[in-house]
Amino acid sequence: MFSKNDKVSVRQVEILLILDLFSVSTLSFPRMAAEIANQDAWIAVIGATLLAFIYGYTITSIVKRFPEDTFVEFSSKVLSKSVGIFLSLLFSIKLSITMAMELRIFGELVKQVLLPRTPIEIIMASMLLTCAYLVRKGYECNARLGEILVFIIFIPLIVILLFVLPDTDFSNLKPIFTTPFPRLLKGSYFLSFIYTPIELILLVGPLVNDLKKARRVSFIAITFTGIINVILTIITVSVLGPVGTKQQIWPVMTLMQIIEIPGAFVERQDALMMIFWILIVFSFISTLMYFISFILTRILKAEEHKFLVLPLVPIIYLISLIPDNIVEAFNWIEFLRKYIRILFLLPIPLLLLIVAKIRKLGESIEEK
Amino acid sequence: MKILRRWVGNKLSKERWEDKFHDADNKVTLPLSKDLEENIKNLELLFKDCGDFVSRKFPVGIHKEVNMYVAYIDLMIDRRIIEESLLEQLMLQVRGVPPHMDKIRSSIYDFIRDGGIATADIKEVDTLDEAALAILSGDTIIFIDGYAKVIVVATKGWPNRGIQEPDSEVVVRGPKEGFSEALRMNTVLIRRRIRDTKLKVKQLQIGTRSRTDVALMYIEDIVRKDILEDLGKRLTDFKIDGILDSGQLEQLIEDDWRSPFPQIQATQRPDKAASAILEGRIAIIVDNTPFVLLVPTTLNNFFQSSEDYYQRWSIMSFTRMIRYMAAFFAAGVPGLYLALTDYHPSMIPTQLTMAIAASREQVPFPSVVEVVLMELAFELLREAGTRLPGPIGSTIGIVGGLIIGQAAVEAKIVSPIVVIVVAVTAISSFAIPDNALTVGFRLVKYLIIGLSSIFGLYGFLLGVLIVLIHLVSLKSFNMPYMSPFVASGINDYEDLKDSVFRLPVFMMNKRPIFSRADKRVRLRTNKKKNE
Amino acid sequence: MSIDRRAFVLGLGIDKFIFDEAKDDPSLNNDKTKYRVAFSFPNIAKFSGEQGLSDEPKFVMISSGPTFSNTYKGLGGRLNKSPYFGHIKSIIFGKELLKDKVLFKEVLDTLQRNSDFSRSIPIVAIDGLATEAIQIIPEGNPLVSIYINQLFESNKNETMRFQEKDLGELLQNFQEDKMAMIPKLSIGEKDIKIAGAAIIKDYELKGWLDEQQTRGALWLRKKNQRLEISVPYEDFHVAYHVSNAKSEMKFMNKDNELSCHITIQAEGNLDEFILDRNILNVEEIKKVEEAIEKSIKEEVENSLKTLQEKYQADVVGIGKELERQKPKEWEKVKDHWEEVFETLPISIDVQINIRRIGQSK
Repeated sequence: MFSKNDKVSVRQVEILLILDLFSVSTLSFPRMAAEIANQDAWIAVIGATLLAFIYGYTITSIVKRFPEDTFVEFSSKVLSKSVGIFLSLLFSIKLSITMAMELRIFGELVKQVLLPRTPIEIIMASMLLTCAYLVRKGYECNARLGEILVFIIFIPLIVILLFVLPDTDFSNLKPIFTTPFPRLLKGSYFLSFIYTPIELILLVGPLVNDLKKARRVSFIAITFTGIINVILTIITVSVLGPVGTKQQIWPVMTLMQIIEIPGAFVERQDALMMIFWILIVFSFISTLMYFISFILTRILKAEEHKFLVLPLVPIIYLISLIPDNIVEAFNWIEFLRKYIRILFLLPIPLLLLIVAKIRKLGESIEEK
Repeated sequence: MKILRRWVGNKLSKERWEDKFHDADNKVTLPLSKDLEENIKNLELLFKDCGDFVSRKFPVGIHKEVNMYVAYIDLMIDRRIIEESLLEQLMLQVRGVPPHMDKIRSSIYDFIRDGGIATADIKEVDTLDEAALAILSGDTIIFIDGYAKVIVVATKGWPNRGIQEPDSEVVVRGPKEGFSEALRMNTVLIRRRIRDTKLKVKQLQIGTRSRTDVALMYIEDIVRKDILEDLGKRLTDFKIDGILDSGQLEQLIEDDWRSPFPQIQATQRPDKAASAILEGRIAIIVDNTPFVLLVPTTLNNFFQSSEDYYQRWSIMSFTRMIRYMAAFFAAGVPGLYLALTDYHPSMIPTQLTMAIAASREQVPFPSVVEVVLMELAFELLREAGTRLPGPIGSTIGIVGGLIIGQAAVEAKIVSPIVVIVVAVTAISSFAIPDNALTVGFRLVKYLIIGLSSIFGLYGFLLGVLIVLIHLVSLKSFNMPYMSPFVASGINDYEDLKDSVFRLPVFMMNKRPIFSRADKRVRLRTNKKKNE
Repeated sequence: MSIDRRAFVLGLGIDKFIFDEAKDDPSLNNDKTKYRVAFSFPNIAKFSGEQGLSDEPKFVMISSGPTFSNTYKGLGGRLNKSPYFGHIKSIIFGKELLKDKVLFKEVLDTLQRNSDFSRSIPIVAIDGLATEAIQIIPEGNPLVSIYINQLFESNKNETMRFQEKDLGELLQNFQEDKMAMIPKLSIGEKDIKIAGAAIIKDYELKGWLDEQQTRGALWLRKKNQRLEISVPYEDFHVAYHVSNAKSEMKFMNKDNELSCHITIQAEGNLDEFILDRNILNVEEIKKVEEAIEKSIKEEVENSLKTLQEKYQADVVGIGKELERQKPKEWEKVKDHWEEVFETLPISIDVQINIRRIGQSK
């Protein structure tokens, strides 16, 4: 159980998933939800969560059929080898670009709020190197760190959010349900991208001890994140109003500024919020880095992933420097979101599942 | 770890120990012979130039037919035993045995061994090496003419400090005994606390020249066999001249020598060692040192002091939380101060910001230099205080801390807030029960100061993350170092009950993960707590 | 940057640049100079109670330039440290600035975009020059901006005399309704006062409300007012202190005519009655309550009248409430809400409860 640094327990996967699901867009998704649905933003978020359950179901179904394989292997088995490798490479490229853009946006935010005089290159490079340090130590270390970070991040966050309640004006949520239904649906679909990290379950097969509980665990993670997302949206809209939420690039940050914690000595809580953001982004980037090197390891059929990590660092760094400013970086993410992100969440796993069932590949519950 | 071992092994290569009389492991190769004179000659050759080597040759038997030879090291033995139980018996009693000489002669050895010596602890050995070792351990050896065997009589009685109160792990409530330098005394102290036949004392010797006795104590049915085997392997994986303290042993068997954090715990208190053994850990007792090693160890163990279990849970939970906070302060406060004042002054309340800015206006150094200077000055003070004897040591503390600090502030070398920051850091580092862990935080503090001074709050967090990553990847005998905080689902969160807080005794009814999985229950109460 | 290399700007007074022959440099008399901004810095040593190098409690620097950013970056040649806005305590807008739509919008954008400005900074408007106001040394606390900040604090916690506004709320008001109410600052020789409000519509100053008229707006806040009211009763005055109040709006549509009905409920303590009279009986209390109710109703009606007829400015959020309650109605009127607001029949109903009458009868 303790000997190698690569098998994790199911609970740890749960925690890691929650952490990952949080990071992607927490600071900005209330804005996107408000842009689509105004004061019914929270309904769109609920819709997105429901969609996420569907994704989770599909993905865990295909993973359960091939317990010892990652996406690389079973896509090669189900479809042909070259298609499998192509898809895996696509997956890793997509993850790399996501990671690079997240890094860039993170760097911009840190530079703006915390370190106006430090070159953004150094900010990003230092984060990358720290992540590389973690990733080289293996997935179990990632999981253990995740367990600790989850407490450090969530408990203060929830406590601080409690202090926002005096400023909430729930009438800002009115009128309810005035947004036309098709718009809500489309909005839910767009918003469901915040649950993209679920696709990482496609890769965790051989890393987890007890795969049968994977489905339950992913549902718990989605539910938990979903509830928090909805609450966050409701609070943001009720404090800032739907118009205000649309205006801010990072509404949750703005929320932090408004909160008054009586008696606390810290005055500018948005800088405090950055602490959580830094920890969340760190966890996200190191997870992505691990999985990218993991995919590559599996494609190359290599033994260890450690040596692949270091070359990744400069590659991602260079990619993240490509956009000229934060607006362009956001554009890249939009592009990814519209066309590519959904791929690995639903169509591809579904396809694999159907083909696998037809060709009777992998283990299934009926056969046992 | 491996590098150290290889270095040790290479340096101490075979050629150094081998000479005419000793082999590669520094063991004596001279044979025993039946001829007394030859044995005496060999023995005295080995102990040439040893002024404390005492020997006596005397005949026994009514007609003084048989020669015997007794040898020991002066003052390592209890003279009374030698004179009363040994020599008196041999010289007087045996002499007076009526002559059935043939019978006696044919087995005078057996006779003496079985009846002639009135002590309980008698061994016979048949190599000169063991005989020499016995002499060097404080026993007395007897050569008998005509026999190639040696009788070893236990006569150990060297001067000893005895049992005193341990000076480093002081408690308000609890036993005040501490380990001493004698191995046997230490094992006895533990035996008194655990009167279980399954408590085992496995002894081995480490060090080719020092031949230090090392005892492993554990409870057979609770301890994990894999850890025991691993420990056994690590202890025999190297060859060293000698070890003088358990610290050297610790460094030779620990998992990661590069880490600033200790992975093995050392204690001077028998009750702590006994409690660890009851949890399923193994105690390593090394002769000549009162510091006993406890293996495996997690980070949480360093925050537990024995007093935690003797006092009541509410006050002790509170104290535990303070200790964890202290660890964080000891590493993080100077870095946080630097990050906030230099990069994010908007986070500090206005009044305080103005005060800090005002006091810093006249100080010539940049903040980083101030902080590092004060920290180093404090380390100097601490070192000086340790070396100086008793009353002068505490005076230096007051003089150094208060007066020099105050004077430095007035001379505008440092600003008063930095003095406070450094003082808080130092006091926090003293609040951690185990000194070995404090060192880790003291070193890590500089890393965090460095990163905070370059990157502000972001750097502070990166520093904290780096430390956390390191801690999370550490293992102590294959047990994760951060154990109760990670993967605690393995033992149903039992370990968490004794980490940041300490739940009431009746709630902690399972052993922590150190022990075997199937032997975890240690407490069963009969009454229901609701009544 | 080391903390003592920063100059902490505690107060900001922003005016539109108006060339003063007597005092200003002739080179400034051109089209490019738009702003005159006053920055107030504390004497940090004195602030923290130590002996510093100077005796003044603060010093003020005034700078002029084409954009707001230019004014503070332009301090570079005059200020020995680098200005830092993280601890600003309040911002004062001058009358002329508020009248100039373009300049005002520019300023607001800078304040919003620059993350150094916290969204909880109190904002006040002055019927005069903000730069003058900043230089006053009030007796309670030598820095005007801190004084204003403290006034805001006591307004919230003690008695409300004006409607507070901070930067975040102001920006939100403008985004949602394009109009806002900013508390009015008045200055004397050695003291300052905040009472009344400035009405800003479509980013332009339209006029001022006096203290009485602002009170009406205060009554219409949703909850938690702590107001003091003195009401004539028989031949003396009664003082009543509200500890808790709330208002509710309801909209009715009769014969295609929209109307609004506001209910105000408050409870509080009777602070002042008159000696020799007994208040400890229910009818007396009821009579006093009625008098108070009447007085409040008059106040609110007055304020609303001013807002409706003189300014056509719905700064009290009636439109927003309509949107929430009857979204369909709102759809019909939202494009010409100003005209509708001007003639909207609003009826007020006040219910007062005297809960505590003090120690004596």
